[in-house]
Amino acid sequence: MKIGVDTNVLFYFLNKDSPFHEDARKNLILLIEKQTAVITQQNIIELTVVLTRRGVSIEITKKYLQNFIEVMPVLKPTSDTIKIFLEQLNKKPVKGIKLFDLYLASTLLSNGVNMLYTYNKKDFIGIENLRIWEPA
Amino acid sequence: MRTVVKSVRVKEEIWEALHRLGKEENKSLTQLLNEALERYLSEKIRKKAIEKMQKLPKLSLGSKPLTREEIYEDRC
Repeated sequence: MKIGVDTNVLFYFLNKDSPFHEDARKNLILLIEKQTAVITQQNIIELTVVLTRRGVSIEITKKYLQNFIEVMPVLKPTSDTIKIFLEQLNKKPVKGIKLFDLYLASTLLSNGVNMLYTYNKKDFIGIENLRIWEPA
Repeated sequence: MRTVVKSVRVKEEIWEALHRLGKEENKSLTQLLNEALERYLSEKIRKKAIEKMQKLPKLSLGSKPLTREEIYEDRC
């Protein structure tokens, strides 16, 4: 079974100042070891935004991204992604920037991945067929 | 696609063990070797990935939690 890894997990994995750092480190390494962790193209873009916003140079950011890309498969949207996105939108009417989370979930679901590891469980509640793993 | 391997040196005891295993499991040598190589490569790749992740330098980016607003709201 594959597990989608949310951007906050990647960020906390790198950021030693975060209270979730050790937890993210332990869990993500375990998932990579089991070869179950997957990320999406959207996660890569989101991580790029947050790292550069928090002061990391583009060059260094690219090196970190490259590392993640090499150790986890990167899922792309499929021809079903937008269909799933629109179906989900009927069931969970969200607006504005919350739609990006719905699109991330749709990318995972259209690739047959129905579990997401995140530290922002509330952002994904109510998305049909998506199970959330938020470590306590 | 498969490639025909012309000559490979294998320790005699391994070769014999492979033959025995092939008979026991009713599998051809090609099948057994492919399975073994697949497992070996996957294990190597897995170990390298873990090593790579563990060696990744940590960053100090503040204790503020990451929110979708930080990612998607334009503050530039």
